[in-house]
Amino acid sequence: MTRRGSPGLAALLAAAGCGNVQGLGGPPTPLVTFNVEATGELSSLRPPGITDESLQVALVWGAQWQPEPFCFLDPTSPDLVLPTDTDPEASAPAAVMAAGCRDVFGFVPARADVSVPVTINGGAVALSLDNLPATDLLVGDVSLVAYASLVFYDDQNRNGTLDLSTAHPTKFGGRDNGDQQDTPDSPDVIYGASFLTMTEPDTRVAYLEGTFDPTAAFYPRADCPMAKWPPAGFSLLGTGGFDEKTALPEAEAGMLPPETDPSLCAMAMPVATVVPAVVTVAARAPAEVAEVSCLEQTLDGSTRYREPPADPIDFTGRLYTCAPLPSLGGASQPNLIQLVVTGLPTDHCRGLTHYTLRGCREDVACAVPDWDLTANPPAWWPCQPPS
Amino acid sequence: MRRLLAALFLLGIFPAAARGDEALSVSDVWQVRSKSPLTVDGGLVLALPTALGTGLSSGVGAGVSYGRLLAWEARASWSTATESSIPWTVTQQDIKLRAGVALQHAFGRGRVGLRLGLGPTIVYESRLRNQGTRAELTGSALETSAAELFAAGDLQGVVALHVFGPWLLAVSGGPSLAIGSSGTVRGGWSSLVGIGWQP
Repeated sequence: MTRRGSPGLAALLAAAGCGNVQGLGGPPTPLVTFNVEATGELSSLRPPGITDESLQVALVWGAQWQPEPFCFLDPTSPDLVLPTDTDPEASAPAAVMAAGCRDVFGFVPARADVSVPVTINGGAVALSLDNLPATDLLVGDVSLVAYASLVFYDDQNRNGTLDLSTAHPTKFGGRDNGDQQDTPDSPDVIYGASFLTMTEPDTRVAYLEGTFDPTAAFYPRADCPMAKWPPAGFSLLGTGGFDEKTALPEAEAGMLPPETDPSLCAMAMPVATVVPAVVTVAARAPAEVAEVSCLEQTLDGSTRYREPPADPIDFTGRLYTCAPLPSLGGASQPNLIQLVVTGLPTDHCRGLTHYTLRGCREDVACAVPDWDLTANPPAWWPCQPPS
Repeated sequence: MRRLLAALFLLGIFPAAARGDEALSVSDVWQVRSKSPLTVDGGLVLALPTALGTGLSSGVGAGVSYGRLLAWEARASWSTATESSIPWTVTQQDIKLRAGVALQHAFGRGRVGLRLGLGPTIVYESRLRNQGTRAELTGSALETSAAELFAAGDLQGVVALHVFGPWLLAVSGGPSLAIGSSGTVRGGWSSLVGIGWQP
């Protein structure tokens, strides 16, 4: 068959700006592109033993998470001070909180998305998203919103992805112990994040469907003069953060704490698909920012109280304390004491394991407990009931 | 049978002359009266999309032929297909114009033949970026369009059956080949199911 066709028609199609059809092929065009740069000096921040590095910037979607009640309490509160005769080896609640509680206002990751190589102080790189955040990352009902942090890290295992870590709970007993899984910490080293905590200035990636619900308590921010709420679609939001000392009373009063520096409020929207603003992520000590890569075991804010194992827990290197159960918003457990155990200092992520002598897998205040060891606690159980 | 005749009558299929006082006979209804070398046909087109590579393109087509054993033909069709991948939803419209010849032979009420048509196929494509609407994309970031001209040919087997009067049932189908303006060669198939009219 010879090649045929109408030259006049072809010229007409060409004049109309028509190109070759692509069908289903070809690379997907990005839905949005952000420009990110990493700045700072790594030589003084690099952990010992790191000789080779692969610096990257990753977009990490945030999780809806609520701090566990134990970490939200005032460590000096009388409610946390047990009567006498607790284990003398036990630590004070304040020490356990400091070692095991993550920043209650911190950004909690849910999933790491795209990651691109970056050169420190080498200018901005383009980070493009080909897909919207998955449904499980969107928070809300009519209005759906997702926030993300741009994380600067060293991809030590060279897999091109930021690997997130979890805390390592100590062993527990009962039927749940068969489900207990522990995964090794990620070797990736975190050097910075555009959104680390709500008590510091942050630049966050926002994605919104529908009209923003200003009452949503998902990484809330006080109104900014420049951008009250995220616009529909993708955007970049900058905020000055709020004061941690005033945040709790304000939150308890049902109000958002004010921005410490309203001049940092900013918003940038994509032009076509590219957000022209450059997000700068400054390098910091990994210990300060590692939490931005720490997943939470449960994202609903509920604390899982575990059945104590029959065999003793190895407390070497860990802190633990005995404390009353904080009020759970309903049935109180005045006679129930929890044992709270921290992770190891070498763990990548902070975390606590809670034990009670009586409880259920889903609700420690259940009427019919799954386990009740109050009459016959394990021999190693360090907490004595209040006298 | 009376109901059938009544239905055909109401549908206006019988010529006005048949609505006289004379009683209709079965042989009158089914008598083949086609004598002309002209045949006009049209119907539903089903084909593999020229440039999409998958899916089913459906639409309408029509053609006219003139001749007995060897007939000259001119045909045109329009069909469309929509397929999706993870990033794209693609709709392609195929406009086919063909001129060619048909070698055909009549067997009683039937007619079989082989037709070869050559001509341009214009493919108009619309690509919608999936998730783009949710991401508030607009303009070319959301949707693009393109058109491409293919030189194409169809080889089709044809079966036509005279039903009554000048009317036929026509079925055709066979392989096709298209060469794009960029030199890409695409194989496929096309078919038509419809009716014909041969006075």
